[in-house]
Amino acid sequence: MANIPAELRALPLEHIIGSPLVAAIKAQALAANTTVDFIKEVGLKPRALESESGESEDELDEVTGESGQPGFEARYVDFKFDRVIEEEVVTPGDPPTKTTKYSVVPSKLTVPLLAIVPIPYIRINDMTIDFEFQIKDVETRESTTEKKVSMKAKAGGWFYKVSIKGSYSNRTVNKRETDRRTTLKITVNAVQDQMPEGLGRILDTLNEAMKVVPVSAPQEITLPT
Amino acid sequence: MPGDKEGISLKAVVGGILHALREAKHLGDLESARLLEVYKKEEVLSAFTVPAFTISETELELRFALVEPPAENEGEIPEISVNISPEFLKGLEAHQVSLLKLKISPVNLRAFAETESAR
Repeated sequence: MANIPAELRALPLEHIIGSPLVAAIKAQALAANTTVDFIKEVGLKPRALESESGESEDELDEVTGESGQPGFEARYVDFKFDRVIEEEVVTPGDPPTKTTKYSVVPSKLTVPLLAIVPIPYIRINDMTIDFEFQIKDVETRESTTEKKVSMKAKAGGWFYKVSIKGSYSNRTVNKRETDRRTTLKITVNAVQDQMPEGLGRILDTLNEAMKVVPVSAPQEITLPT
Repeated sequence: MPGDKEGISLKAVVGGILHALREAKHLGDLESARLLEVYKKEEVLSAFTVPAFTISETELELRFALVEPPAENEGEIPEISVNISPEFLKGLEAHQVSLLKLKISPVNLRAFAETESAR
């Protein structure tokens, strides 16, 4: 090994390239965690405890799952609006008369919050690591293999006695010195990514469950002429 | 440094860089493998893809000076001895410094051959 003080021993090239790579992976994982936190905080709520009578209580069961149903449920938003229904009424007679009847149905649409709020999901699309690196020294591994073989042969009567002796040695020399004076420029290109397939399916299911529900009986109205 | 006077093998330098790239990718893969276990345990996170990156392309420029002309041995790749010391290169004329440009792209190799995994 070259005689270099430990503090001057350079950062290996693989670490200079690999560390930003690892950092990008960690950053991507952090971004995913942020998305998960967003979903949990905005789109979900801890499942409510249910009493024996089946009525929901105010207590929330987020962690312990004492109700036997731990976890989260989707947070919904109710949109109330009046739906106008147009109906044609035929009065029998000669000739029969047609009149149009209008009625208002107070309705509501229950929408999962996750379906109407954009979910932030950032993906690192591309990363450019740009640096100048001065190679001050190169590690060389010199491997020398020495084999010594000696053979002795001895004649004796009807047969030969042969003994073979071998020796094998392997010598490795490591030398390494690289320069720490490296300027690193990293360009990261992050894009808003599509939702992962699993999460997309959950959102589709929630979307399919959306429907308009009447909240009271229709009220007939007369339009001004 | 070795190479100031006696020079160093060009293939050792390029080989070292390729080795560093492989090791860098390995570091990234190790982190992805660690995260895979973390993602498995987290209910919501398991719906996400585990971040993993590949080094799509590496471009590098290597400046060197030939120390001695390559020795030609029949049937063997000639050993090119070069000097890459910045201090040494500074003292040379521009025409004495060679520039090697490399564009390195990964080759997809898997730890297990498809035929093995299909069994």
